[in-house]
Amino acid sequence: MQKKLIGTLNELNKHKQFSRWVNDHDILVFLNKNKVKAISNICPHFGGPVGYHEITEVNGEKVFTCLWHNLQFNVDNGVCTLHKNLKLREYEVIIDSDNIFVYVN
Amino acid sequence: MKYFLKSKSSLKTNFPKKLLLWNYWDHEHIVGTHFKHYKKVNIIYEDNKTCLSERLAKLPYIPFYIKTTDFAILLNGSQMVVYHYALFNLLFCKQTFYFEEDNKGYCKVTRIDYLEVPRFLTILQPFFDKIMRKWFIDVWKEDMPMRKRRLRVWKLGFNDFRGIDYVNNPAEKKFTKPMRPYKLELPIAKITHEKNTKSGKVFLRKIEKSKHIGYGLPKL
Ligand code: FES
Ligand SMILES: [Fe+2]
Repeated sequence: MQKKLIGTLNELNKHKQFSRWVNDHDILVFLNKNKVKAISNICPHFGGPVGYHEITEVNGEKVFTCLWHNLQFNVDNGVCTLHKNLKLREYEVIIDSDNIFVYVN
Repeated sequence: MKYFLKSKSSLKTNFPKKLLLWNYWDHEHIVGTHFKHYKKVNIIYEDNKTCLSERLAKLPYIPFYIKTTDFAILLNGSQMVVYHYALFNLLFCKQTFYFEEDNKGYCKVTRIDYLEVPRFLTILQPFFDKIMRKWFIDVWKEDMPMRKRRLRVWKLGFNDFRGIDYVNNPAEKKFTKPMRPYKLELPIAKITHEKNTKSGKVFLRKIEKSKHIGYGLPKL
């Protein structure tokens, strides 16, 4: 696993969430319950961008809605609300001063 | 005698033809990628060459949604035709699409639109041309990043309904095979519909106004 810079806290504060390609991984970084989280931004359906829209709340559940065909993923565990077998990978995050790093293979 | 308004739009891409056909035959993406223009699609029937659907669509300069019935036919690997009916079949529009791939695997798309009108409405020709060209460009701008990303994940070994193995499983090796020819199987399998009713599969828009940051921040 390699430690890679994905962005800064400044970027995160500005956008509340962001995604970026690092080492052929498209990673979605966001704030969840005051913690910085990183999950895959690649929708397992057809590859759409999971974090295109801001987080919304659906029936009390916070979700990302993939731009292409609207599959929704729970922000806490990355599981698709419609097809529980589809789950987004979570990446380990390290914060170092203003920098956000992720571990990628 | 029948009278038609006509409009022609054409643009080149650097994508393979099959990827473009995937985009056009992925009917459900209209309520996702094109959420600004469509709020519902009901796919009544679909096979590997045809698709019958109903859509709620908003055209440029027209401030309300129109319910259309649409019948798409893939005539061959390079040509498709779509018949649209609206306003209790009073409105009939035909669109023909041509896909021309060059020897580099790049493809040009040409769309020709015809709208049947009574003779006195042929004066609307410039207005029709303007609407249809604008629509082509608006939708094209939303489709291009989708096509680009689809090709990118395809090159990284993406499998539909599964994703990329090395992304899902950190123990997996990176996908290093040379470019696989883009594969297309029609009809495209559906899993994102709200309802499976007797009259078809219903797909609904979930985001009406997006607060978004888009496809991602630029590379560091
Ligand atoms: S690619 Fe995400 S819902 Fe289809
Ligand atoms: Fe499209």
